[in-house]
Amino acid sequence: MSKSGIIVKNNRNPWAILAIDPTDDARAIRKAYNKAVHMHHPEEDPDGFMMVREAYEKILKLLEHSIRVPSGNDIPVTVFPSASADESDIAPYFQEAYALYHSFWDRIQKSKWKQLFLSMNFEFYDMFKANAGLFFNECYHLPTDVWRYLNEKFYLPDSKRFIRQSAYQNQLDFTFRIFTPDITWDYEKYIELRYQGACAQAEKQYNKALTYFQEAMAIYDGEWALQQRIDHILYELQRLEEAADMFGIRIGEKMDPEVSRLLLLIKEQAQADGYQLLNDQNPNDENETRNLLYLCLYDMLLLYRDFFQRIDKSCWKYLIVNLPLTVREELEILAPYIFNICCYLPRSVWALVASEFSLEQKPAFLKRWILHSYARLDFSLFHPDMNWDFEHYVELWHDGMEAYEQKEYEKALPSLQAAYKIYSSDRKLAEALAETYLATGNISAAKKCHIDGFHASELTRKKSSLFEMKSIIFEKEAKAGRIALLYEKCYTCLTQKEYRNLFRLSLAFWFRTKGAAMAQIFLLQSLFMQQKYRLLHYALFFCHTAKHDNFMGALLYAQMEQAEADAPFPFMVTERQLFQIRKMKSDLLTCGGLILIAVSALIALVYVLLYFLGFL
Amino acid sequence: MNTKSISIGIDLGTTNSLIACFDEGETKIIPNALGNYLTPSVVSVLDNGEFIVGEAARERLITNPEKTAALFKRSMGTSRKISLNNQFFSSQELSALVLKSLKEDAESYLGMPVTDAVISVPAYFNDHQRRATIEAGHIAGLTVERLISEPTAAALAYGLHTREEELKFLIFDLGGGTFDVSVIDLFDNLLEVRAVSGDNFLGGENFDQLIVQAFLSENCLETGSLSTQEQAHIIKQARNLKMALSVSVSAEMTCRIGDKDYQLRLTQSQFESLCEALLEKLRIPLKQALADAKIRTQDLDELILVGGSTKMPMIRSFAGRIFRKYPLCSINPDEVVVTGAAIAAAMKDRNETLKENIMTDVCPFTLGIETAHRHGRILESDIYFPIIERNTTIPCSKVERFGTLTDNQTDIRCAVYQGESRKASENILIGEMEVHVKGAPAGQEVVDIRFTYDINGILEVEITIVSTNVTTRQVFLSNGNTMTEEEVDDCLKKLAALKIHPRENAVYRHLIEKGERIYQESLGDRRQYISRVLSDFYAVLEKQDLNETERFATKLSKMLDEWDQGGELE
Repeated sequence: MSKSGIIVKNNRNPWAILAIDPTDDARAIRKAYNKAVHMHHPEEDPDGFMMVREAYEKILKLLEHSIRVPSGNDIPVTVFPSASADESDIAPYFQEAYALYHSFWDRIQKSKWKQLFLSMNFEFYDMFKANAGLFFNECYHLPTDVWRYLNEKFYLPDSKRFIRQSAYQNQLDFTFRIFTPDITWDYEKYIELRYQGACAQAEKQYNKALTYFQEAMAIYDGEWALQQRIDHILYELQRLEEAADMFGIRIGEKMDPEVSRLLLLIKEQAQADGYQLLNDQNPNDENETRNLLYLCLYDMLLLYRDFFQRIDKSCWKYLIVNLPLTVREELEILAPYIFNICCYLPRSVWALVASEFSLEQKPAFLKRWILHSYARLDFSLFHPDMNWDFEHYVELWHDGMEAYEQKEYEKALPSLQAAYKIYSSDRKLAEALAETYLATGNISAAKKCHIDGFHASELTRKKSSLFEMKSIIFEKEAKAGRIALLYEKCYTCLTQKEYRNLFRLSLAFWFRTKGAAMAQIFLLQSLFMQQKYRLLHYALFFCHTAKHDNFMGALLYAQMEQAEADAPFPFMVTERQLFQIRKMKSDLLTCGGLILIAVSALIALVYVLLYFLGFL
Repeated sequence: MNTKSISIGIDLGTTNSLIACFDEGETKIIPNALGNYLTPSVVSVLDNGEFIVGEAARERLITNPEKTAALFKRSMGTSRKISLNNQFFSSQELSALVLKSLKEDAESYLGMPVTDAVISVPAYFNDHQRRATIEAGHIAGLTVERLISEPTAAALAYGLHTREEELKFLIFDLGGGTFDVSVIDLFDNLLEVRAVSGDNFLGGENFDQLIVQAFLSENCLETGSLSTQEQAHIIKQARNLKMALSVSVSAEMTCRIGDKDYQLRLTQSQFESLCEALLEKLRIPLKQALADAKIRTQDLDELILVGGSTKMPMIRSFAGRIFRKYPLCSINPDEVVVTGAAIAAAMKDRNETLKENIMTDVCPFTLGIETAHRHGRILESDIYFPIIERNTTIPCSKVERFGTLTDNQTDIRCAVYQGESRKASENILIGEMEVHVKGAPAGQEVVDIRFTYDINGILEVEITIVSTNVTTRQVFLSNGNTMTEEEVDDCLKKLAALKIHPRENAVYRHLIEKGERIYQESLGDRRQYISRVLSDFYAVLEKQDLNETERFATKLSKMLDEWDQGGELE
């Protein structure tokens, strides 16, 4: 069927149903409706209620359509503001976004934007969405990940700025990273200049780019990426002298002894492999390529020197992407040497440099790479306001871990200890150190270190109790070692028939093992052989009360009785017997009762026999 | 109606159920046999074939997952069968067991038989799900004349609670398995529900699932390689982690799988970013409810949080930020709905104290029929034509006129659907009617179709052939997917045949099941000890010496609590 026509509906005057005079006072209408509903209760008089409701809805609709009736303080139900408002109207809707944008530190964090839109009021959100292009045309200095998110959310590509921005964004991305929350200089202008410069450079307008960059440099000269960029432009412009000067300034100002040391190391290693890398003379050499190579290398080392840039993958990416093609090949040859020395890097950076310089194909390098990329130091635990020596820590950590993973515990211990001394809240380190202590036999230190580590990382009780168990086992083993020694001694005494000595040793043995069967045997044997029967009686009594192995005691008792009556018979313990006794012991635990009964029967038998003997 | 009738309201929840009564002007929540207000909606079969419900059954979720069923509310109204120890049950039957246990609690508390109750359902339950709930009540021996939407119930509880005369508020109800939103307008004594909205498959369980997923991916595990017990264990630990995150900034979970310990550590902010997609999903019903109610966010006076999952700080701050309001939760979020349900029951019974208060509810979904259009030669069929729009105040009655589509068409088929999709077939078919008209050129014969949706949520469809003024009526009480009388009888018989674990023993049963669960979770000496204590307990129970049993039970319960606490910390 299909929809056809309209039914002429009940056309009673709605005002009459609600029993009020026509008005635009929403409160009065509502009151009248309430009254009417109480008269026509929806449970008792559904038809009446439906009529009232219909009238009420009709009136509401009337009110909605009567545009801006001057009324009291109540506004009739409004529709949502339309999306085609002009700019001044939408300003309030942008307020929150502006506030976020103007707080620089928040602006460059994707999560803040996400949070903003997740919790935005619905009407605001609709307005914002409709006009997002407008907003981001104005506020566009944002890192790539933020752009990507915004684009997904608002589908922005119609914005012209956005297209340009997205082309050069990853260059600025790096710039964003130099900012800290307590920035004091004019970063907005700096970014703008930096951005303009990057655009100009990409369009090969080097002179223009240079002016922008230099202006930016005048605001803030601490960004090495910018210095590098100026350097490269100067080379492009064939203004070699200036480039060299610039480079000289950079080196002169910041020539880090550590960097020169690293450079030297790299050079030495490369030379040892027969690769003539750099001349030792002044970098202002006539050979441009060499100079450029030197420059790039220097940049790399400089980056490596700054700990927080070093562990930031995007810095490396930026650096590598911007390497001049002319020296790229040579750098690739050099890379294994570089990264053999600059090896304390997070996994993500390793993966990046390994793929960029195809390091996997260089077998000499492979070992180091595998070790370091799998050691998995949690670099996320570092942050810029730490006051301990994290650089040293990282080195020690890696050295220690390397040895530890290869189970060379003795070697690993000093490095791990030193690292632990610097910083003790790294769970992995604590664990490794504890294990190493255990392996080297220092149980109490292991325990302490472990507990420290767990406290620091709030690890679960379960896990630490597991460790506890492990250390108990270790302790037991250590004890077992001592016991084994005692046992050995006892055994020799026994074989050499030094019974006095045996008595002393077996007593120690007995106490240490809390009454082990073997100790009892040794003890009793020694007494027995010395024919100290009275003492033997006491000892036997002890053996009986000691919980273990009543069976053995009984056996000996029987033997003793026999000895009293008869001549002593040699009771030697052999390895085989020992094994049997152990086995018996375990059997005893399971069916001890049964055996005991059998044994006591046996004893009774012996008694009876003795009795008969005596009687005879 | 006898003079001292007590009105009963039941909150049949996904994870927990409650029962309350309205008596002498106030609501009282009725404790179960263990003395708790919350009865877990879990059913389990014991080894001797007896059925248990509640806390004891919940403990068995860990120890005997294959003999225990939970979360069956989610499959309410579907034909899905849940297997319990090789017997198959529908969710109605399982819910009936829960209802029955609640009913027994109430009867022993009130000392009189309970026959009528109002049960709350999520606002977004469709017709089938509502019918299934009524049937569950029927099987349990309760006459369920009225269902009330959970957010509406919450509104009632709050509406009577507040002293304000005029108030516009939004109720944000995030429970274990469902999310409901309702916008309420209170004016004098009239509580008007302006709009409801929600998501039937979004709740606390989804948050648990996210943690479980994070746990599995963190430890490189796969669901397929885990046993049901291990999975249940992981889910429990995930829930503990979620709860721990409500009070501390970071928390950790540990699960023992095989003989290895696996861990996951989360901070609140990590958890928050994990849940971003869910929060995004929460926005949709909120927005719809406000738009349907034609109320702007800034016009809202209050924001009220209901449901266990709103205890998460993340949800609180999320809701607070959207509405720029400090969320209210002056009634325990677990108990709001049942309180409201009891009030609704009292209102239905025309209780004196509530005589002045009136509440109007809305129809939560659109009801309409299937139509077709003809554009020249092209016939476009399967078009949904809404007659009662969602969020229309009920009771309501709407009429539309339709005509024949082809020449000499004599049969007019009227397929009634419920849903929001433009394509009729994508909505839920409620029922069909057919009327006969005399052959005439297309469009000349017309019918008026009237939908009347009454306060109990029952739809009556009335077709009037205009030319002859003949009216056909049909009340959509039952349809293809619901049970016939015989089926209900069968169910009743089936349930009557089931042995239900006696209520008096519930406390002891719970202790035993808890002990079994802790036994599974612990190791070594403690395990041996628990085992010994439990067998001692069995022995004491055998003796049937009440005093001794009670003494032993108190001791055991204290011990178990201690161990459990130790276990929870892990």
